[in-house]
Amino acid sequence: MFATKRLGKELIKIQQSLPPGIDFVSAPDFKQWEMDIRVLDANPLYLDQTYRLRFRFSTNYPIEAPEVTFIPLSQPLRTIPIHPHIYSNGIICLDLLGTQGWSPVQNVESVCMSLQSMLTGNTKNERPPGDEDFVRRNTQRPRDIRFVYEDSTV
Amino acid sequence: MTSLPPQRQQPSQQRRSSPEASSSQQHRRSSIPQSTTSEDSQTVLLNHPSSSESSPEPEPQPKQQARPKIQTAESNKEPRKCWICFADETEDTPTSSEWRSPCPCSLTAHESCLLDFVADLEAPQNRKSYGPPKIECPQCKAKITIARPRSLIVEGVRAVQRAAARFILPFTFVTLAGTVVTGCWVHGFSTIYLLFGPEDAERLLGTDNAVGINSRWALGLPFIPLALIAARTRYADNLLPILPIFYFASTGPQRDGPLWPPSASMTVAILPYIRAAYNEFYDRVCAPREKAWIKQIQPRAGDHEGDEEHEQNQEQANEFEDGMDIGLDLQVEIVEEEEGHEEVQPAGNAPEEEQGPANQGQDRVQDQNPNQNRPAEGNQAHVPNVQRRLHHHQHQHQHQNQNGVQGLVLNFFSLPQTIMGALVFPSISAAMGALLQVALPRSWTTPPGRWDRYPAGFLQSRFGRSIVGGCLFVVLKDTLMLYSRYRLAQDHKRRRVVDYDAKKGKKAGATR
Repeated sequence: MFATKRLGKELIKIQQSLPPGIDFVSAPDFKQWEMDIRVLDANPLYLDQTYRLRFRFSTNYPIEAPEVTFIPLSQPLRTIPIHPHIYSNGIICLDLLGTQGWSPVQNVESVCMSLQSMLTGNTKNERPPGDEDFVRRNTQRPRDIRFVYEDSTV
Repeated sequence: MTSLPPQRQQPSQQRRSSPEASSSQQHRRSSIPQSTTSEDSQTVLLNHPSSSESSPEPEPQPKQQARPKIQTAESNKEPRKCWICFADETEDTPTSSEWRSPCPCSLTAHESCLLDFVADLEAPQNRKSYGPPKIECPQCKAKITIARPRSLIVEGVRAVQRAAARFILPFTFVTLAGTVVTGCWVHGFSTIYLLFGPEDAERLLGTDNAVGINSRWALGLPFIPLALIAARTRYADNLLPILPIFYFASTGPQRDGPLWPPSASMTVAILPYIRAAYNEFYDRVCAPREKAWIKQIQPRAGDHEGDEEHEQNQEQANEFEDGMDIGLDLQVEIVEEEEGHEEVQPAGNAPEEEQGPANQGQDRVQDQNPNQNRPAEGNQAHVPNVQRRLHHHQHQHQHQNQNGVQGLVLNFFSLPQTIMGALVFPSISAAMGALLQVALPRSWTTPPGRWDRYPAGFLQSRFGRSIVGGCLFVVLKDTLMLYSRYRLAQDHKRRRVVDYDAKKGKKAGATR
């Protein structure tokens, strides 16, 4: 109820206007939404690429953070952006999306913009350390993973 | 009705500390040049319909704080909007909770929304530290104060939980310390039993009267292993001879009993002097020779000129051996007795003159040290060691026949070994005492009966045998060490390099 009401408001807003580089894809219900983001400047790592984001909301949203991941698609082509904080299975290590970093002032749009700028500011063509291992073993949901947020440069 | 470029920087302002903040600002600087003047402003930009499109100037407008949003009202007076559920004032129903503005900034919210938010912050699984959670506005970081009914019981329970969490570390330390003290106590207890035997030990400790050990011993026992270890350091050389004076001063007059055999406490009091005497003897007689033997197996110490690889191998071996020897030698210097003088003498018979070899050896090494530092890097670890020893002699004693090994401070390598030796020593002494009982004639080791004619002897008590056994062990061990050094020095001259054997196809290294 709580989440539904708020998400309804966000949806109205999103469908009316969004910042450049962020596009609304679908919101079949108030549990799972999809958004597209792309980087606006000429960062060669992400040039001419669009990435698909999946938001999953719990009933406690916005008190609880949404679960946000990149998802790969073949039609249209969507890949997982390469970034030292994004694992190749689409899980994002960003304090904003964790319990400690999240606060209800955030919303779908602001998360999209944060991720957009996270990509924009990146110059490293690499995955997080231990990516392969993590991708192979991880069975947890992203918000249960205990990330250590230590890097404030990327 | 549109969302405007300057609004895009809101996320970074709200989350000043988040990683993306800096990069997003940089990005914006490059990608959206038209909004540059407001880039770094920490003030939240507002999407005021008239001004924000053209003007970068932030305009405080309380109701519009939270997000870029649809302009539902074109008027200046906008309805309050909850930053948590995003509902605004116009949607309030009679059941909606009240509006609250808990902080200096313009975020307002429903009380029920705020309370949900606070409850989430307070939820135990979301908290990092043990302290009370920080409840603050995510925008301006001002503390959000919550009035709640005070319950003494709830607060008491919380305080106890926090205190318990805080005491984990101190408790761990106390437990560890207690374990160590108990371990020392047990070691001291078993030491007394080993050295004195069950009957004497029980009499000493007072365990026979069923009230437990008397308090003086209960306090003193843990210090036995500590004292054993402390006696291994060279500081003990200065301190130990003083202690018996206190003993004599305190117990002298009351002592009744015969002078021979000496009582246990008397023996303990005399031991430091025996130890000092033995050390002095060792320094004067054995150490110079030992020194010379050590020098002989140093690279290029003798006439022998080996090839480079050979020397390095040998030296590494020596270094290791030296380290071991130092550790062992430190164990030695605790107890000895008069018979040590006769016992050790034969072992140190190799060089004819006492001073000669030592002097030569030292001079030679001193000359060599500058050379050794240069040629091989592998030597460097070893050479300072030798130099330090030499310095020690010259500065402290000016006697060239002083024993360098004795003066060495405990180094890292030998410390565990020294402690182990100190702790095991009572057991070794007791074992040697038991051996003595078996080995010596029966009349020496059994107390005289009432009608026997032979006098009471020192070895007739288990304590006496333990002490003598310990001394004997020290002397034997020193002898063995000296002998092995001697052998090593002798064999050093006879070592040779084995030629490569083509048939076996394997290269043989340097052997003795």
